[in-house]
Parts: sequence; structure tokens; C-alpha cells
Amino acid sequence: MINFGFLLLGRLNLEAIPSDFVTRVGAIMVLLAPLSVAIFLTITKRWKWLYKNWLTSLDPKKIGVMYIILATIMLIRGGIDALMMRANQAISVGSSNGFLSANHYQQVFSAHGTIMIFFAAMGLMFGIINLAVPLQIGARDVAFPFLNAVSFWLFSAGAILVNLSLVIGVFSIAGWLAYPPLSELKYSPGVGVDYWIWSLQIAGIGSLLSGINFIVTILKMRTKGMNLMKMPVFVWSVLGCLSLVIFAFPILTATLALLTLDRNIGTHFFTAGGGGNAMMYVNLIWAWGHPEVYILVLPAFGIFSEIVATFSRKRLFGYTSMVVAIWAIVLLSFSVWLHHFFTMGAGADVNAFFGIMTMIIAIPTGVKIFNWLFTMFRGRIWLSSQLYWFIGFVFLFTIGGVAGVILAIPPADFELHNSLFLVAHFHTMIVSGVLFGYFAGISYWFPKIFGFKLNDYLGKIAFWCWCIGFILAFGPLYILGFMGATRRLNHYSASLGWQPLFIVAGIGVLIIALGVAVQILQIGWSIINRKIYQDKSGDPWDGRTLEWSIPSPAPKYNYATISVVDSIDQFYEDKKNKKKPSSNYEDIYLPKNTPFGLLIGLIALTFGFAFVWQIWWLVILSLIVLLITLIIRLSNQDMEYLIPAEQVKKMDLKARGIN
Amino acid sequence: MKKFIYFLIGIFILSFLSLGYFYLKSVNIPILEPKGLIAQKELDLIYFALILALFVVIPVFSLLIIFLIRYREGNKKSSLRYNPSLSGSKVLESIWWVIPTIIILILSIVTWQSSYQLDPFKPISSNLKPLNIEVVALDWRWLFIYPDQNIASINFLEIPIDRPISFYITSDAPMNSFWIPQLAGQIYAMPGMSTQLHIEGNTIGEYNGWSANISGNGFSKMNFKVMVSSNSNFSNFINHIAKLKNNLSLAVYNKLSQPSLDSNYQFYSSVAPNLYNYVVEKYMSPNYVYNSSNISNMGGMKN
Repeated sequence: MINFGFLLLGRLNLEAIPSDFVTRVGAIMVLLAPLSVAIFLTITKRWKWLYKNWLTSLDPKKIGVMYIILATIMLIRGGIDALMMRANQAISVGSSNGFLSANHYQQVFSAHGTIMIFFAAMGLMFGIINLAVPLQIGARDVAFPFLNAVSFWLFSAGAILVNLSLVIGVFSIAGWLAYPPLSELKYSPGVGVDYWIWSLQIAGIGSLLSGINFIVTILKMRTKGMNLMKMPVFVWSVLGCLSLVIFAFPILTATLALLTLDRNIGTHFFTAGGGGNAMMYVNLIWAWGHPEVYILVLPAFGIFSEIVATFSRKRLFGYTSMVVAIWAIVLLSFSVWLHHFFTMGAGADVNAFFGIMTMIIAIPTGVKIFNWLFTMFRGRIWLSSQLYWFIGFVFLFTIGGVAGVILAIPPADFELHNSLFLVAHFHTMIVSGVLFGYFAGISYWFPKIFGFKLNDYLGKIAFWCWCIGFILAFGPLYILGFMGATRRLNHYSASLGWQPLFIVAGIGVLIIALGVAVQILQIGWSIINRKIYQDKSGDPWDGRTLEWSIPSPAPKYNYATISVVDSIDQFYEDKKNKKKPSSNYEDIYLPKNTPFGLLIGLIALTFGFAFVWQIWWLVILSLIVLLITLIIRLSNQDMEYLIPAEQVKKMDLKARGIN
Repeated sequence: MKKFIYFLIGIFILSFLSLGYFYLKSVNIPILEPKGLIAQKELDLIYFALILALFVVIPVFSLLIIFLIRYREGNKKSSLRYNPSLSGSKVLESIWWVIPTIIILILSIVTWQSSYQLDPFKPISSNLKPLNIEVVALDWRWLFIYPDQNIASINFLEIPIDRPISFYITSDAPMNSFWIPQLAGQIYAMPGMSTQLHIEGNTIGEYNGWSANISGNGFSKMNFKVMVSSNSNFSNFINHIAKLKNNLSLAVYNKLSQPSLDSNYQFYSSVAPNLYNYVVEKYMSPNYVYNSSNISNMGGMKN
């Protein structure tokens, strides 16, 4: 007897629609958000505008903006998860069980980690790389513009798939790294882990492609005279970060593929049973996972390097040291992964080796901090909101670093591992090191992309909300760790006396949420008053690198004429020497818009969804359609259009306000 | 007006901090109050690393504050001090490559030595014979087998004071982590593996034990009590349990290993022989059969 229902719909049936109240609210929110956007677009008749100017665009600046918008939405989604966790922990004491069931609570923290790392942090990172890297190296485009769009749309497909789990089915309960055997079929038979696997797999391939794309861009498309040692430090840090991406992400892809095989065809790579070894998974996932931390933090380091120099109005202190430090971090970051599981019992020699390697990586990081501080030495510091983020970063990151050094000693880690102390440590590193950096970067390059600055005062208020909120949210967690509170608890006994700290932590998260609201207000306010904040000069911060030499907003071809570089802070030197921009205009070729990136993203989403629900005909069909789509796109020879030199000149003079 | 606002903020912060102080004085902070040899040494390491790290933290914080005040644009002297061409200094940069390296060198030596000294697999040297206890993480409770006394318990552990305890730890459930903060740091409990932990309780009392790694729905309730008791009380405990006539046979165990949110204490006066080895070994092959006389090694993880 053939089960036609399964053939047609796989595991999908009506039970997949959420039944409990909290999940239903979440599902409705996930559905309402795009629906309200769609209604808005229909009313304002902007569908065509959206399609022509954004969805099909291959301009890295536009792709960057789309990355950042999507990542911000994901940040809010992950933030709501965080609020739910803290609210639940604040009340789920003694006889009360909170408003989330144990199972739902696990889904929430798994989603929080997954979304924040893969879709919020990675999205902001690729967004900023898209915005700033081509501009900083004086290039007109990236090496492979179409591939760049494909990366973005694969990233979006992953993000949509994660959120789809809220509406149809469930999400993983196995934490953001899904350790087996909990993530294996025996303990997680549902679709949750499959959602997790496929959203990461699809987004991860996007990241890998993006990594290759921008490495080639940096290595091959720098402007005349910009040899490697004259690149802005941000570009160096991105090169380091993306080198990690192309070495680390294949590990993730392979590990997820092995887990997929375990779950779908009955292999025993990581199962408990049949001789499978979960420890192999833990090693593999962290061999990707630790470099991932540095993938996120290196571009933020680069942003801080740009900002400190610009707002201290001084050259970056110790450029060569900075570059050496970046590459020391890149190399070392592949030799520390075991510190995530000293408690697995690998033996004293192995633990000691990885503990020491972990401490060594603190040296180049410390060097960078001292170089930033001495960039301010004998400078003229402009205390803008961008610099506020930097100051907050130094303060918090150093505290988090101390916690990190403690955790790097294996026997000390035995006492603190998997406790809330650990949670507080890595949030300190990622929020201050990564998010603060990206926030600073976004407001730094914002005028170059949109032509007007963001309101600085609101930026400072947002900073104070984040900073104070952060201390209140994670200070208690450090203490709770010493009290023996483990992470991921959805309930605890009242006699432990933990509740006041959880309540303070919850208030902290609320203040952070207020900070996010202020940031949104800041953007809205600045858009409404964009005339006031307009950046007429193209150089609002008295900048030092090439991107500030062109008008704001940056034209679609970035540079009307090719810049020539012979020092590190070329634009600063040019301004000092009163050098006029070149008038050597030439024909410019730019890639035509194409819907194929969007199409590939949709196919990937269909594929992922079908695989999660085991709708096998659709899996095969989407693969065939993908192949055909690729063949059609790759046979297309007519992919570029020309802007003649005359027109470039006209556009450039107009943008510079010379007629 | 501005002064008044600063005053209010100051009052607020002060009262918040003093509230925090009295709160912290009133609660138990297990890791800072170790009651066993291993936990004490691990805490010493935490303090040591903290103090050494201050050698970097204090300069960073002071430099940050000093530079922000001295070179701020609003500071009238800042333009006199301004030197835009200053872009590095071999001497200064060498200082912050070398000094952190020295600090890390000191820490590395301590790390290396302490990793061996406090290796969880290393037995504690003592005149007394260690007490062996086999630990099995189940869904979602802890089974403790005293192989030499031939008794077993659920979620309750009693150990004699000042005597080394040798735990052999495995899981018949997802990965868990076996943690008694006041006695020693944690180690993972994994199916098909046998890890070890050696501890010594040095103060009579009742302590909390946890599972520190997410293992599913009952994770939060997967706690256990540890009693460190005098030798005579410990013997009474063993004798009392041995009289219960409650056998942990293989059939009972198989029931026990099914997922359950029942976290009540249970005690067994006898245990099926070789049960722990069976639990470890059964994951090695799908057709593994229980054998009461099977003398085998202790699973995969022998140090």
C-alpha cells in the first residue's frame, strides 16, 4: 500500500500549525511583519520600485543595505527570544513554572543563539563588508557581482527558513550548536533539528561564496598603487576574516551534511549507538565554531581601527603591528577550538595545550587594544557616537577578556563551564566586540551610502541604553555563574536565592531593547530630517581613506575616475596637499540587474523546506529547476551595460555640485 | 540643575550597590565557598588568573580615561599636544608585545602544571582507599551505583568525609555534565563513554549537584543532593540501604532509563552485577547482550 499523503506532503500535516498560545502569537507576528510591508508597498505603489532598484540589483552597496535591513529584523527577532527567556527565568521559580514549557523554552534559546550568530551578526558583517570594502579599495564593484547577489539571497533563504519554523512545525531543542545525541533522530525525531540544519546549510553556503568573492575582490581589484601594506586596516581585517570563512565554513557544511545523513539514511557518524561518536561532532562543530567567533570580531576590530584614527584625527598607531596582530589571530584561531569542551575529558596534555594556545591569542588582541589607545594619544578626539561605541567596547571587552583568560585555564573552566558565567563571558565578547563595532561602522559609513548623517545625539542615547542595559543584563549572570547556575535552565528552586539577579538581568534586557528602539528612532528621525543632516561635502568626518574622496551618496560606479594611492591615509594626504580629483574620465561597465539571484534564493528556500518535511518529489524538482536556472543564467552573455565617459563626467560634476 | 541630576544618579547607583552588597552577603555562592580539596584548588586558580589579568586591565582602563580627558577636543591644551604624524613607536609597541607575552608565559606554566595536577582522571593521593561510585546520567535523573557496597540510589549521593571518591561517569541519555560546584568542577557524561572524576569532600554538609549540559525536557529538574557525612553516618547509610530489599535488576534498570520527570530519591539494596559496564558497552554494537560476568574494560575513555 502506497501512502499517497506522505508522497505528496511528506511529514507535513495540520498538526504542524502551532497549538499553544505563545507560539501562535509568535507565528502571527512572523506572518504580520511581511504582510504589513506588502500592504504598505501596494498602497504606495512601490512594488516595481522595490523590484527594479533593490531585489534585482547587483550593486554591492544596495546588497549591503539589504543585508543590514534583514540582519536588523533578525536582531529584533533574536532579541524577542532573549526577552522571553529572561522573563520566563524571572518568574519560573519554585512552584511557578513560567509561561514557557520546557520544550518551548529550549526552542527559544536554540533559536536565539542560531539567529543572533548566523543571521544577525553574520548579516550585519556581510552588509558592512559589502558597503565599505569596494569603496575603501577604490574599486567600482566586487569581483563577481552576480555571485554576491546569490550569496545574499541564500542568506535570506536561510533566515526565512528559520522563521518559518515558528509558523509551520517546531524548531530545534538542541541548543545553537545541536550536540548529538540530543540532535539525533532518537532524541529529536521531529522537524526542529532539520530546520536548524537546512537554514544553516543554505546560509552557510552563501557565506562561503561571499568569502571567496570578497577575497578575490580585495586581492585583485585594489586601485592603482594600493599595495597590500597600503590597504586600510578594515580591509586587512576583512581579508583575515574571510580567509577564516573559506577555511572554516566547509567544516560546518561537512559536519551538517554528516548529521543530515545520520538523521535521514541511518548512518552512525555521531549517534550514541552503532559505534557512532558524538565527540567527533563536538570537535568538528567547534573547529568551525571558534574561527567563527573571530570571523565576527575581526571586521569589528577593523571598523574600530578606522574610527579611532578618524575621530582622533591621527594616523592609526602601529599599522604594521595591527596587520601582524590580525594574522596572528587568524592563524591561532584554528588551534584553540578544544577550549569549548575541556570538560569532555581529553586528558591533561591536550587540555593544557589548548588552554595555552587560547591565552596566546590574547596577546595580539591586547596589542590591538594598546595600539588603539595610543592612536588617541596626542590626538584631537572628537567624541562622536561612533567613538562612544569604541569606548564602551574597550571597557566591556577587557572585562570579558579577563573572564576569558580565567576560562582558558582548564581546571578553572571545570568550575565555570556551561554556567551563566560562561554565557556572560561570550555575550560580553560578542555584544561589545561585534555588535558595538558594527553599530559604529553602520553610522560611520551611513552618510556615504545615503547622503546624510544619522542624528548623533540619539546615537549617544542608544549607546547609553546598550551599555547600561548590558551591564545590568550580564553583570548578574557573572555572579549567577559563581552561584552554580547552569545555562539553559527553565526552572529553579526558590531556596537558591537566584530570583533577584534574574529579575535585574531581565530589566537589563529591557533597557537594551529600549536602546534598539532608540536606534530605530534615530534612523527614522534622520530620514525625516535628512535635509538637515545632509552630507554635502562627501567627507563628513574629515576622513582619511579613499571612500571619503567621492561625493555622498556614492554613485553606482563608486569612482568616476581612478584614484592613485601611494600612502596609507591617501585621502588625508591629498587634502593636506590640496590635490584636486583627477578628471581622467573613461567608459565604465557595470553589471545589469538580474532577477536570477532572487530566483536562486527562492529555489533554495523551497529545497530546504521540502527537505525538512521530507517532500522528496519537491526536493528533486527544486534541484532540477536550480540546475536549469543556472544554465540559463550562465549562458547569458549580455550581462553588462556601458556608461560612456561623457556621461560619467556629467554625473560626476553634478554630484560634486560643479556645473 | 545638572549637578542635582548627577547627585541623584550618584545616590541611585550607591543605593543599588549597597542593596547588591547585602543581597550577596545573604546568599550562598558555591564556587566561592568550596568544601572540597579539588574545588578549593580550582578556586585558587580563578583568583590567580584574575589577579594576573589586572596587570593588563588597570593600564588599559587608566590609559583610556587619561587619554580621553587629555586629548579631548574640548580640552584647551589638546591642540598644543596634537601630533597628527605620530604613527607608531618601536619602543612602545615592543612593550605591549613583550609584557603580555610574559604574563601569558607565567599563566601558561600554571596552566600546564594545574592541568596535570587537577586532571579529573587523576586519582587523589591519600592514605585511604578511594570509594568507587559509578554514575549514570538518565533521562532525566542521576543513577549512582556503589559497586563495592552493591547498593544504588537515584538523585542522592552520600559520601564519607575526607576520603577520596572515584567517580566513573557515563550516560544512557544525551550528553550531560556532572557537576557538584562546591566539591569539584564538572565533567561530561556521555553515552558509550566512561569519564572519571576524583574528588574529596572536606566539610560535613549537604551540597547541590547539577547536570550542566542541556539534555531535553527534564534538564532543569535533573539535580541531585550530595551529603558529605562522617564515617559512622556513612556506614549507617550503607547499612540502612542494604536492608531495603529493593533490587536494581536489569529489568528495573531498563524501566528506570526511560524518560521520566520523576526526580524523587530512590534507593536500591542490590544491583545487577556489571550493570555499569553494560550501560557503557551497549552503545558499541546494536546486538550487545547483558552479561553479568562480563569482565571488560571501562569503555572508550581510559586515560
